[in-house]
Amino acid sequence: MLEAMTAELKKANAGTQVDSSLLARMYSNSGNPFGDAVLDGSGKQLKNKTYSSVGAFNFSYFEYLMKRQGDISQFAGNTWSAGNAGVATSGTKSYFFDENGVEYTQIIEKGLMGAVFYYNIAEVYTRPGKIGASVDNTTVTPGEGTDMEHHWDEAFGYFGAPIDFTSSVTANARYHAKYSQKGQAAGLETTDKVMNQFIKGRYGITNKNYNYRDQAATQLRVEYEKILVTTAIHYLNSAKSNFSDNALRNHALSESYAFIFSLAYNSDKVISNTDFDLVKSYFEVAAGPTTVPSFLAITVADINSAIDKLSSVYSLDAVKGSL
Amino acid sequence: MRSYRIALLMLLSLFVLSCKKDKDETTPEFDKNQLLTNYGTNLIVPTYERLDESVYLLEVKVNDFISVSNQSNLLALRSQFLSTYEAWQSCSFMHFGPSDNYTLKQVFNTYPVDTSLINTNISSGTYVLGAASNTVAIGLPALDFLLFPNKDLAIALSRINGVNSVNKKQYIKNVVLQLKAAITSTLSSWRTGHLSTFISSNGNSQGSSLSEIVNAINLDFEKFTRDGKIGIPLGVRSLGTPIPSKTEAFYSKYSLVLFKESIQQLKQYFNGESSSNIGLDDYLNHLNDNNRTARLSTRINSQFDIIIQKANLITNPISIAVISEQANVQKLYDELQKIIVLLKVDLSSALSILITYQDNDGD
Repeated sequence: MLEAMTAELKKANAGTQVDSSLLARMYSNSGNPFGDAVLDGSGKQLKNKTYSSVGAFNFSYFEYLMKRQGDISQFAGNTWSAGNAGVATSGTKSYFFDENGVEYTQIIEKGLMGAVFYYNIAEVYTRPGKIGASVDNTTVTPGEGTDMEHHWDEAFGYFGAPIDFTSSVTANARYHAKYSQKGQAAGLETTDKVMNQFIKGRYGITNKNYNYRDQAATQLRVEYEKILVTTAIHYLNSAKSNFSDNALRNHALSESYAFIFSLAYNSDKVISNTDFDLVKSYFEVAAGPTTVPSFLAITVADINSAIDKLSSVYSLDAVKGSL
Repeated sequence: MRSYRIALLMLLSLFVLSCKKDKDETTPEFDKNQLLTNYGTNLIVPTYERLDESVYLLEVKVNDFISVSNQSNLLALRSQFLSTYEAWQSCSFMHFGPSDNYTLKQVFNTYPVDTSLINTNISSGTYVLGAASNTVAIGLPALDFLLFPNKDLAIALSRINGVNSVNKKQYIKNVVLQLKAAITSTLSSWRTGHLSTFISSNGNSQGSSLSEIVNAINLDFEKFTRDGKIGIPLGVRSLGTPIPSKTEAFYSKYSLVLFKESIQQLKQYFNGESSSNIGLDDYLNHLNDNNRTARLSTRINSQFDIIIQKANLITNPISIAVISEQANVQKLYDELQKIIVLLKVDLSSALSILITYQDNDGD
């Protein structure tokens, strides 16, 4: 579903206006938006799985972003420049940005990975409501296991990994599973640590070893958070390395901004709210009573400050340069 | 008796073979510590020191010119500018660690510049040179545009002293101050700790110093030397239509000199030329199996020489040559392609270095 939405969003990169009403229908899976009988008839949707709270990033925020991408992508035939939405190109890569250099495709795609996938893992399927004492762990439903097993497997499904995923078996890894390899490549074993907690938790549930289950649920959230942070730093480094390339810099900043704001979807997040707001502020400008992402005035010093804050909060100082 | 002799011969040859094997096994490990010490202490840090010194002199000449804006001070400023541009060339392929952290390459040498943005900044007088939106209005290329509005010294001087002259001179000074801040921070970072980190990171995995050296050489050569200095002006990215205005040092027409300088400096860097002389070539020779007719280090060095020979056939600045001597520039480009195979495939695999700089996440 997210893949189909991303494909629609990326039409702007090729100079075509994006259909925002189609995006909205894909998001809520209404009116057979995918042209795929299995998806259209699945009864599943991303919208009602999205974290929602007043004032925070929530599903109405994403609907607003989709509408905005549809509206501004009428300029997808133009060349981007600071202050004017359009497409910027570097080598074989082309990206559509708004007038502030923000690539809404990334904000929406990576943002939904946070607000749907990460949120469901961190706040729903690893919490007592889904794996606690009141959840049945005896009655086996064929093909699904017990309710508790099934809930844990739901969490794993949101990760985007094949069942035999390890740092050395990486084929078909998608979404956060794919990005876990950034930290793994820098020697942090991000992929393996997340996978090990998934396995440990499932082992605990199946063998009714609830200490294992609870340790794994807590530790999984810690390790999973590192995926977001290491990926954010990776893209910040890329933004620095390509600082004078509008296409690559704005693309990388859009990616990192979305991974950074996704940290909010875990109530146990390691970073304090003050530090979180500080890091986010380097990428935002005031717009009336609120703030919007804007990458026009950002400096290398700002990017370095964001990296340094993240790396010190998450004890990544030693590897921040090689992410 | 005869079979006895044969047996003896066989024994003897076995003995010789096993001796040879023993000898191979005891070949000493290549001392990577010495290699990295040479690169860090004798090559990289002194290169940044030269650039730092050169930018300091540039600031002095700018101040002289601002206080007395005459032809002789403009000439002195231009000449210092060109020597700073030469000093920059080797920093370009040492872009990792502190240099990457302070985005030295982006600050020093992003071209072509957006001349209308520079003019807007000058007339408004309010700008933040470090902002993302100004990356195409700064650095040596901005100075190139501002100091060479005309080749003729008298005409150039009258242009600089013309409209908005106070803001223009201030802009020149601010650009130089930004360069100074970037190189000073980079150099001090190397001096205060990074040098020892660099020398001690002596593996060959991602992030090790050797990997950084090799990746930086390859990235710089492919993107900034082959494409930036030659390929893009020649039109290889624009269906064969040359784009002279995308040449390095377009306004001073110094492109050919800078190109040759960058190749010479890269060759010296490859060979680790210094008092201790331990370079990538020595490491390759140590690892090379000698089965080939020519050693890889020899082939790389010969290819550097061929590139210089081809460049010597060009008589005009590159911006002009891509039109008037297109065949010669094309031949040069072809030779640049050849060395990329040697550096990116052969060198990296011989040293077991993974080329990591491609953005391979596919979106």
